[in-house]
Amino acid sequence: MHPTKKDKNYDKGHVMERPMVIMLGAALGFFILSFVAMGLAPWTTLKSVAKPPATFKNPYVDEEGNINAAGRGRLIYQREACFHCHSQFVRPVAGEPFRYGPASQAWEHLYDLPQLYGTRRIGPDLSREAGRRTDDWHFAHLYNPRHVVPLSVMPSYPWMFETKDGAITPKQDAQDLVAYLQILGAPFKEDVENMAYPEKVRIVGDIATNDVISQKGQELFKNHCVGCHGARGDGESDANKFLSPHAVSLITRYMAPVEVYTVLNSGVRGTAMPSFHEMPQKELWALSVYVSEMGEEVLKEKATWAYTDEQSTKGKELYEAQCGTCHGNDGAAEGPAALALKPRPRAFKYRVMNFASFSTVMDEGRANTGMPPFPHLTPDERTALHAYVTSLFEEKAGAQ
Amino acid sequence: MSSVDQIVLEARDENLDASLVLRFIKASFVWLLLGMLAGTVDAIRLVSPSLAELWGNISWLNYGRLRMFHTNAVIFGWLSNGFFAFTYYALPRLTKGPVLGAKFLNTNFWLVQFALLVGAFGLLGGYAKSVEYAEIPWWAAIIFALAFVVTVITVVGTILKNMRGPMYVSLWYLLLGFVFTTMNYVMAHTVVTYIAPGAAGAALEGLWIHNAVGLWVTPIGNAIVYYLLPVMVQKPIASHRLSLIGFWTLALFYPLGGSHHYFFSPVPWWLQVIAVPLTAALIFVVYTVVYNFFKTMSGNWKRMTSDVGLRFLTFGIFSYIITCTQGPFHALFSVQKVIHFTDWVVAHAHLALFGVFSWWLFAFIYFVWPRLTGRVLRRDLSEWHFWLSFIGFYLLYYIPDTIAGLMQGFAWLSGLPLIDSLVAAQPFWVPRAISGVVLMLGVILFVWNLYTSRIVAEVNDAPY
Repeated sequence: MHPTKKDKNYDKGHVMERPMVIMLGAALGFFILSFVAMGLAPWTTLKSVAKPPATFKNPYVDEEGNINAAGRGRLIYQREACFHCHSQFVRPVAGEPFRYGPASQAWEHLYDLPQLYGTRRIGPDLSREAGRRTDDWHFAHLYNPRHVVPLSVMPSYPWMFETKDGAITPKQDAQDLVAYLQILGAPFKEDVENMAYPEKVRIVGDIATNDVISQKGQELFKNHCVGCHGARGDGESDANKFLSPHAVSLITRYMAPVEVYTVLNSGVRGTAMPSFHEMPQKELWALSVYVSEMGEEVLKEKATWAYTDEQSTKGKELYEAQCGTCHGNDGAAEGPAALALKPRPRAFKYRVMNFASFSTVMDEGRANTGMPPFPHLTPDERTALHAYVTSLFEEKAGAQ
Repeated sequence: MSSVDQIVLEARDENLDASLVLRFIKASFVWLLLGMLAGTVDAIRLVSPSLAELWGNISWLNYGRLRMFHTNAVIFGWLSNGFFAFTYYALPRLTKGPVLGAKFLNTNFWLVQFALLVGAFGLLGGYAKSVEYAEIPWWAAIIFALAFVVTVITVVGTILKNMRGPMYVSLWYLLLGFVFTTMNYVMAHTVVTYIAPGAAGAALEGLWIHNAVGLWVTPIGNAIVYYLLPVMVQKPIASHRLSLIGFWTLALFYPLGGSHHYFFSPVPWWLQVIAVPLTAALIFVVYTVVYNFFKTMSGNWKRMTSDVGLRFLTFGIFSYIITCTQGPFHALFSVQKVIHFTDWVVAHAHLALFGVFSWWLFAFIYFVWPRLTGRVLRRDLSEWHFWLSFIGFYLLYYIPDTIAGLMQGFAWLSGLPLIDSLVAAQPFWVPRAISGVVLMLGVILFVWNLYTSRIVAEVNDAPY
């Protein structure tokens, strides 16, 4: 027989090991303590501290309060567990503001329910994604991340795409998801854009001081560039089916190493070309030289282009009328309108294109940059313009 | 030596429902193998992302969904089913009375498995939400909570009904784990999911994820060791007082350190700062418990060579020391700066959930299976299981993954392009992918052992 509570000598043990003390004290009591201290208290603090700017509104609903594309995208982000590999807060330490943008503020997440801070980073933090990439890039990347980032281990999401008229097009899910990514960190969009696509590039060192090994350049090209520019650098790639403007062919234009270096550092805002300014100088120069060498055929070919003085003169007239405002009459890209443009127009001192490539740009322009198409030019005018633009190229500067 | 500590040495209680315990163990193995398979597939995909093309990249086997399936399957399918098995084994023995509502428990077993299946469907089918470890949709969580509450009522009711004297340590931990976790689970699926936004939600999610381990897995794990160790070494627990100190400090300090999961985030700074000493306090909690374990072990270390169950238990305690010593150091800002978000943390989590608690559960199964089935487990298969687990976990998983974490952390610090951190870590992910296969093989041999070994005694005459 068990002793009953009425027995006087009934040993209930130490007071701290009795069932009710454990249940009410250790379990219930300490749960409430921690819920209040670690949950409710910071919640109240946040209510007084996290004051968003007046312009900040719930980004996940439209004006009538219905869920919008970004809100739907957020649900897809949750269900695919993106948050298990991508965090959503920038820490003010470890150089993160230099990599991602301004450190995260509490008010930014007032409408994030449940929050998506995340505890793991295999891919990059995504809280400063607005303004960093184009929609095209995101679609190519979602369809198959290796298309644009050859070394990526991110899973592909082909079920968010369908084939329409032979072209792979994003379904609603993919569009919503990208809409969501594009509003992440929207209040800091301008800062992030300026950081992701630096306008001013400081040229550090040169080929000689960096002891360039072309094998290294080749390896870097394979690891970072082939996704868009193609294995041979001719722009024949899977990613290019998604991209507008297309990633350019690197074998139909010659760019001096210093020009490649500049583009690698600044990226091309509005296109899928990102900035690689985080790469070590040595690698940047190795890659610059390798990419530059890809276009050397154009340089050789250039010697055979027999343009007459007449063509050049006509080209100059056309150029000054049509191109000078942006590209500058001297081709240094310092025309009156140049400073306002992002990305800045190209200078012709360090680059030269073959006629076919030049023609494509005339036909299509470069979407999402300041460069419009010039389809009305006659073939003669086009040739004349190419003659003049080619003459702006300084072989000496380019040969360095 | 108090009489309470001797309970475990006493003969079998007739109130024990052996088939229920065995059923929970069998179910736990199904979830363990499924969970490990999902983890292994994901580990291979991090080395070779094109693997998914083998099954045409179908959405419900995608990396992220499998990752959620992996964590949920091992925590709620493997560990929790195993813990239920332990609970229904230990409860009648330690309270010396019948289990309350015993006739509902078979139905509840199927309710638990049904909840887990619905949860798995929710995760793989694309209905997940984003609260870590609580990703299953609300309609699956309600079923699981219901099944869990039935268990809590059983545990609490049985103890209140039967106990007329001091409770043994394991029962304290069972009470604590079950009651605390009910509230924690409900909070995660309500407040964290639907009410607290942004940084406030993160603070509470810290409370949830930290205590899903700290006040569910840890107390039940401790209950298992407090139960098994004295029986296995034929000696009572060394110090009752230390048990009491270890228990109460765990209950007090563990819940308060949760915000260390969100250091340098917009969670209020004061909350991050106080998490440092509160987490550091855990080191004393753990050392108290471990000292007590080892004091009990002293003079009996040799038993480890012949008793594979005791060996799993002891090595689990070694891992417990490592993982719980790491914890407080992780909660230093300077360390956190480097290792946060990296594989170091992933390795740490596996050390706790696999290296410690899964091994303790293995020990429990090695202990209880012969007693319930009358089978004597084969030594050679047990040794294979142990050594495959040992090599597969420490050499192929824990050490390489910890290094991978350092590679990532320092690659980020150096300001190199992000993709370089991946390239730096990838060589260390190769052994990790292999470890998944090795560890699964170990478990398969274990299960093989459980089902094929020789029956030497009729179940009813099993030696207790």
